[in-house]
Amino acid sequence: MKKLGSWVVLVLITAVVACSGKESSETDSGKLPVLGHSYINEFEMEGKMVKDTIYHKIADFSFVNQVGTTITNADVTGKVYIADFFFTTCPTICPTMKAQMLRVYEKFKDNPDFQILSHSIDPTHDTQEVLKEYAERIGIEDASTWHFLTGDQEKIFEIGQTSYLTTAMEDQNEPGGFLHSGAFILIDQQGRIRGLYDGTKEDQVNRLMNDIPKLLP
Amino acid sequence: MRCFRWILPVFGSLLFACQGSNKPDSEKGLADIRDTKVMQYAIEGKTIYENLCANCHGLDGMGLGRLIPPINGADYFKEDIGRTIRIIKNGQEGSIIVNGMEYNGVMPANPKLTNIEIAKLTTYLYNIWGESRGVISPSTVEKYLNEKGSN
Repeated sequence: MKKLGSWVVLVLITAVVACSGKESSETDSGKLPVLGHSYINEFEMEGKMVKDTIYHKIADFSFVNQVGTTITNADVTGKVYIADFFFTTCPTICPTMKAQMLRVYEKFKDNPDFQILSHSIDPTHDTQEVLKEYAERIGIEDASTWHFLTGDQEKIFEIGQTSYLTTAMEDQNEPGGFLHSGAFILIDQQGRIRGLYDGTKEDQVNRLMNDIPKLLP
Repeated sequence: MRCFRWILPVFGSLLFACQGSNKPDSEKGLADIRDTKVMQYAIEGKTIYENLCANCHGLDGMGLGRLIPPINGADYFKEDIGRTIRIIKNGQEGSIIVNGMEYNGVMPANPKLTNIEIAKLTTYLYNIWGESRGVISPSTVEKYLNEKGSN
């Protein structure tokens, strides 16, 4: 009987040891890549050739948030932030994106180095007042972490396409009149893209929530 | 020592017996439906729900803040099957009160949905999350769509 007991314990321990360690996959360790087109800049410094990698960065922007504050690159420099593109009357993927973004918000909202920028691609309709009500209705009471941005539509489309490498355009064939991706784009303290995630899929948003702490101090 | 042999099977069967009945109403889904005819409709109804409704109302039917009302446990939904059917087909705009909370959004119409599809969808919704209203047939759907209700 005693022998059997020790057997059981041994088997159990082995099982436990075998099963732990499976958790740490490659995505849990190591650094996040820098995404977008980069190039090597060579220049001469003190008689030596120096190679410097220039990474794709988010261009300068200036938009207005739901409480009327102007938000520019200066407000997110030195911070980790997530960008996405939506519109308040969107009948398709936006509610799902917002439900998922709320999960991210709840987890990181108290971190002063973390921000969310949600750009409206229908800024004519989505005025500051409309965005304020929208934010309040999904339970975002202040604009300290999550900014809902409006501004010049061309500028918003442009920064979506060229800086955030995502789709955002007017398209009359789409329900709601706009074509946009559901991407959540993860940006580091220097304005570089460190991850792209489908904001409509829970597992990808889980991956995002797993990646954010890798960038935070 | 002997009594231990008893414990496992007894415990196991207890666990099985409790499954389902122990769930809170808000978590009762397709798997908890016991009626075969309802199940036939509800299986396809679930697919329709996931394709057309879940983006906004959520897979769990809980809605989104004060922006999109819940269906799961919603008084407004339970109150009037006919109204629900008309909203699904024709959409809805303006201020409504759901579980004491005011919502003022737009639900798009679904003019392409057939009566049989609406029947399957509503049979699903009215037999999960604590509801068990049985089959809602295409002819019932037709009758409600021809009625002039509050929608």
